[in-house]
Amino acid sequence: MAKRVKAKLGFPGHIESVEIELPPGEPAPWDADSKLAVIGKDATRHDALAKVTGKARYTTDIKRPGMLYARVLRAAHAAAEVQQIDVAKAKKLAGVKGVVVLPVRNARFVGQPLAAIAATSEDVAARALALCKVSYKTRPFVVQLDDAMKAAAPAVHAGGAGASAGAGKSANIRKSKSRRRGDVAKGLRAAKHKVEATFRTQVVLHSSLEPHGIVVDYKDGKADVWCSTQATFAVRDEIAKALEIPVARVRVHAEYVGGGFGSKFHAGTHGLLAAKLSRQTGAPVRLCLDREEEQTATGNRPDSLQRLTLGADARGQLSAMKTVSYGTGGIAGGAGTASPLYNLYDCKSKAAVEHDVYTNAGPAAPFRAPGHPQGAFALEQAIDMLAERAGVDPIAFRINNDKNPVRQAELRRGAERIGWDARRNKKAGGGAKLGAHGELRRGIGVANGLWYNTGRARGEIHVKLHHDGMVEVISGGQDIGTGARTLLAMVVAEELGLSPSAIRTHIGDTSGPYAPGSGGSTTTPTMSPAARKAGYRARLRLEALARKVLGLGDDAALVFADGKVQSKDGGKQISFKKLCARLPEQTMTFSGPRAPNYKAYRETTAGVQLAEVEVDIETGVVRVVKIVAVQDAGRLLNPLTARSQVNGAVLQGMSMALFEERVMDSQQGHVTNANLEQYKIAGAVDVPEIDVQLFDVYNGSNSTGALGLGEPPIVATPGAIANAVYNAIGARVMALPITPARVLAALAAAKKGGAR
Amino acid sequence: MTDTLYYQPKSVDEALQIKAELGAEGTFLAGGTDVVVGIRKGKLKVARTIDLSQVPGLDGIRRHDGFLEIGAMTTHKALEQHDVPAALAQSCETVGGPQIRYLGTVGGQIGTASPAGDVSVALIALKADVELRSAARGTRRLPLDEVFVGPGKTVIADDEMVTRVFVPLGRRSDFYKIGKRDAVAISLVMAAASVGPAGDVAIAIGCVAPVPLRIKRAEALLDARGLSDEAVDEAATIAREDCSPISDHRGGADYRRAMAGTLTKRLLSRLREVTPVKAKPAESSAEVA
Ligand SMILES: Cc1cc2nc3c(=O)[nH]c(=O)nc-3n(C[C@H](O)[C@H](O)[C@H](O)COP(=O)(O)OP(=O)(O)OC[C@H]3O[C@@H](n4cnc5c(N)ncnc54)[C@H](O)[C@@H]3O)c2cc1C
Repeated sequence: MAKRVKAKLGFPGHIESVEIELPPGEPAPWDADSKLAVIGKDATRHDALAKVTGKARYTTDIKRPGMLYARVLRAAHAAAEVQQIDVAKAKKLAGVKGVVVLPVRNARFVGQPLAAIAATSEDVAARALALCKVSYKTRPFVVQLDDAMKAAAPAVHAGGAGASAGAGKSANIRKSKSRRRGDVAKGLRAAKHKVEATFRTQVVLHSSLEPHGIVVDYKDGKADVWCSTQATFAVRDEIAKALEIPVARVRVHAEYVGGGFGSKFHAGTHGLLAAKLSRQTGAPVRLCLDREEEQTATGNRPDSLQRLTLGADARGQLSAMKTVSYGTGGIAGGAGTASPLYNLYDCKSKAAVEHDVYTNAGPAAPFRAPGHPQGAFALEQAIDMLAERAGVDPIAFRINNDKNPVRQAELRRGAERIGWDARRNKKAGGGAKLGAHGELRRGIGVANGLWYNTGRARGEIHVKLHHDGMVEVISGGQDIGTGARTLLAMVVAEELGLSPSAIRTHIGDTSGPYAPGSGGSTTTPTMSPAARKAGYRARLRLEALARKVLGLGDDAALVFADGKVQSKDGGKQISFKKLCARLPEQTMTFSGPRAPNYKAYRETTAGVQLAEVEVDIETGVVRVVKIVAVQDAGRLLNPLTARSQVNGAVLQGMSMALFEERVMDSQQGHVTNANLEQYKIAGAVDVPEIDVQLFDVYNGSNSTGALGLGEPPIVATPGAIANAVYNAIGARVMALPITPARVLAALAAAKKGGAR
Repeated sequence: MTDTLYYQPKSVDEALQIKAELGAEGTFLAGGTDVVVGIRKGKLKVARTIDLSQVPGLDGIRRHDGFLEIGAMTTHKALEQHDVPAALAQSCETVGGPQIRYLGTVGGQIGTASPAGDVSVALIALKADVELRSAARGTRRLPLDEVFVGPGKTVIADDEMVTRVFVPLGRRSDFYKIGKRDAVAISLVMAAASVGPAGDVAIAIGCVAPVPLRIKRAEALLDARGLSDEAVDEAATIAREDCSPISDHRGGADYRRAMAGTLTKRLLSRLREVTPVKAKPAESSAEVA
């Protein structure tokens, strides 16, 4: 029976009473009126100590008796027919125990897996690789976006699926998505102010601290698998398929995962090779990639070439928005960047056309808010350009063109935090000359961001009550560093009136209940309501028991707090522990299936960021001084870990804005900086002051009201930094990363333009 | 590699004896921050290693006869904590991270002969000399900039080692580095300059040529004309002209060339205006013999 309740939703200053229909058996959402003891208060990660002391065991730490070490043989050419893979010599090397050769006919990127060898040590496996002989018939290849788009470009998927050279067109371009509403041509004709601009972003690599790795122990038709993954159940299914056994015969462990950022949704070719090697040798097989393999073949954020056209009327109201984008993620696509333009701002006419371009490089993988930081980098600069033409302040322009009340409030908060009115240069490049020789300029910029997920009706959580009062929370899903383990304990602790540290959480083991992969920032909004549901059911059972034990009537209200259960007036009480001792069973398990979403206050997650930068106009070096990140997080569960998600995303976005870039060798076709020495990620001294402003938005879309926070805070960062650079120097850098050379080039171009 | 041999000499003479026998086959191991990385990358084949860590008398910093004498095994960290000329201290502070600075040595820096060697550039700009020694011919002393002939190539003979570096005292100096990020980054481009008590100028730039580049033409001009605005501008132009940078994953040749001029100008302007003072805790400036 569906139940209707009123909930107070929104955010402080904008609370509305909203009627919500609850799915049968679901608790009402925590809203603005809920008085909560655990939720919304900082809780240190339950695994923090294990992690910092090295007790936590990651996949790379797993050792099984008789374990073999496997390495992958990889293609040496960017495009070639693979005529023969001769492993005879390798097989004869002492210590080599197993070889699996993939049926690869065409190599399409340097680093593509061809075979794998399992041996008694990593060293023997590496030497065995050197003994393999691969005969190639090389073909022309293409590794750069612009080259791949030329009509005469070599077709990346020639000789395989996807080759379809149209007349006068590159076979490598595939239109991936096209969205349209209203009449853009009309909107542009009506526009008083117009901006047409082209932006570029680079290929960025996930660079997870823990590279991909797997240990497969296959015996007697059963497999135990340890895998660094963000989707335990997907890995389970893939390994089961590779080994041709039922999924129930595969158990995947991923208790600790050293980052994924979207690159670890699958077992991967190396994972399937490890499974096959384990079956072939009858021994556990460990296959952990090294940094070079990680940076070459396990995924990337595609680059982009984006042409934007925006129009606004005389008052600065958007009348048309259009983007046509191209990008390459290598041999596989996912290069779209148009969603920010399509989903941010209210505008009657919009068109967004996206293309994936193939190149002979490792395949793309989802990466923290796929397409969004790139898209927002272009969009938010174009918006600033348009605002400037219309003579409207960038924040006022954004507020005028975006009715989302959360983002509007966030913009106001952000402006206040950074000192927008007082400290931003009224004229771009017109600020004070700072530094020993007047070589430094400061500037402030803003950018909007958004994200979408309110969680999915998938998965379930189990809560186990033991007769000694111990409570366990169990999920087969994973915590890839977001703090999910701690959150689940907090939610159940809130429901049962316990302290989170009194609860043991078991995660990362597919013998537990199903949980979807950690993607789209859905883990918290998907798993926390399931945990609440399971805790709620346990509580209902305990309430019935307590009424009996305490001699209260059937409808008597009870309070669960401080490890006690008491009548509403406080007259009668029993400790949680003693109550559990009266349970009819030694252990009782309560399952919490994730119910469908309730009605949400807003379907999207809002966030804005403001950046302050300092630019050396002689060397072009940019230093980010400060980032104010104002972020909607739905109902905040754990502010401590929420802040750390925002910090991490800002750092990753800042690093993308200034430093990171995968470089391909056009002549040889390989990645020239497939390491962390030459692929530079921002370091400790590059870190700006980060002012995290969390917005508690009572969302109501599920019983906890939580939204995911992994992806949203990276969306605005590069755009905010780019706009700040413009404000500092009066010249726009239209490409990422914002390198010193690009800054100087932009300055030189602006100077020329000004002289004309 | 099956027959690798490792030597651990206990004196300079013994080390030189071993080196003389092995010739090009023998590789000195100082801090190992280049050697070990090179071996692991497969770029360096080392069959005979001569570890210098147990050789007494190769490290230490002392003032003598108007020079700072720096032993080849002196680490970047030791220099950073010692009272040394500003450019030298600053260059040492920017080498890698603390771990690298505790291991990396001046001798290793020179032996590596990288055009991106921060400390080499600073030393050249300080008009430092290097002392080379062999069992057969004893010691010889030459200006550091004459030691480097190409990336990884020096005039150091197969039986020779670096024993000491001599840095003339009393020069005002400065150093400026641009990396891809602000720490643990090999330079994208960097430069150092100094002015002697008699007003003579020295300038060196890194990452703009096959060797750490001394800009002698600019030095001559400045020695003749002093640090006037025009002379400094001309020196910067010369710096741009005299370098021959390449493009790589760290940056483009054009940018490096432009920076050769910009940094030259920046350093000279600073030297003209102020004497950079290096304040270091007194305890760390204790002299080591
Ligand atoms: C992570 C990392 C970051 C780094 N960052 C920087 C940086 O920012 N700037 C920079 O300049 N360098 C940097 N380096 C390079 C390196 O640390 C320096 O070049 C260092 O000075 C090398 O010293 P070492 O004692 O470790 O040399 P080693 O590796 O021991 O030796 C280097 C070479 O010198 C030879 N050699 C050593 N001692 C002598 C001697 N007495 N006589 C003759 N030949 C000798 C060796 O045989 C070898 O060929 C970095 C290295 C790493 C690994």
